[in-house]
Amino acid sequence: MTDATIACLSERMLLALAEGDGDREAQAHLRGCVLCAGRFRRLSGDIARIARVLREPPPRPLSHRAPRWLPAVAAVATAAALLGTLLLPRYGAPPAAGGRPATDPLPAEVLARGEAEPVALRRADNDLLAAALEEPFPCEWSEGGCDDDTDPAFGGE
Amino acid sequence: MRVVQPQPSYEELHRGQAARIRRLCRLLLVDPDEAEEVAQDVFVKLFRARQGGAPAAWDRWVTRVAVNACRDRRRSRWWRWWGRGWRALDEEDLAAAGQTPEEAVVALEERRRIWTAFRKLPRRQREVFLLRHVEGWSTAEVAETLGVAEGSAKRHLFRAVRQLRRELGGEP
Repeated sequence: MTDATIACLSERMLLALAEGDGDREAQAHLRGCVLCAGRFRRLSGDIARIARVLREPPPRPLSHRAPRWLPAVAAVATAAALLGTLLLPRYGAPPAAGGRPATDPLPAEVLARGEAEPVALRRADNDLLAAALEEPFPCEWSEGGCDDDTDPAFGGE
Repeated sequence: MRVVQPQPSYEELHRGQAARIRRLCRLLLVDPDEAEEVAQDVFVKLFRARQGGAPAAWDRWVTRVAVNACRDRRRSRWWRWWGRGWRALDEEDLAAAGQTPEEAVVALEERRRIWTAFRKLPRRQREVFLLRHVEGWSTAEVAETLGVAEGSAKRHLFRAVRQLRRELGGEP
């Protein structure tokens, strides 16, 4: 049965009543209201239960601390990251001007298997190109073309 | 005519307060070793105070010293955390006599939830709840010991209870 003169009690008021405070009106409501009486019992029970548990030693998993190796691992990881940051630009930088990119010679067994043919062809192409560049200007590109009969080689004067 | 009460000896004080102070330190600090160190510091202070003078109420005096010592230790312990490794504790998680395994599991789970919720509370709420409901002091005594107004102690208590119940799945 609920006392019609007062609305149901707030949790704060219930706690005040549990602490021995609270006005006469609230106490009267608590005596008359089944709902608030139940809430009050649950509140008191919860507090007693919590206090009882806290008087006992804490359960084990709550007491775990950080592993001893954690700081060492953190320090090593930080050092590795720092080292990586410092060294990465050196290896990733382009070769200096005039320098040639470093290449490793092919192993002998690869050459023996003939797998080095594309490389050899490429080298040959490079040689041909270099030789062509050392030659005089090609006649096809000259003004008179290759039909210049003034050339003594074709009987010119 | 005023009757002068004889002062208790240090041994009597230690015997009467040791378990309570250890538990209090354990509740306010997480680490059991740390709690034991602080409790020992409190006993040293108790020994010196016993030689120097006589507080009106030893239990209140010791409690105030312990709460302050735990607070000081919490402020300075951030670097100690790294120096201590994991180790298993001695607390017994064994089921109480007469419990079935299921009941023991439920009880252990509840203990964990309560301890976790308690440790999540702000420092002041933890102190107020501890002194009021674990130590069983009145709100006025709690307020006086912690050096706060009684209304403030009640507010902290209400917030602590509400938060704990919320964490435990109760009202509200």
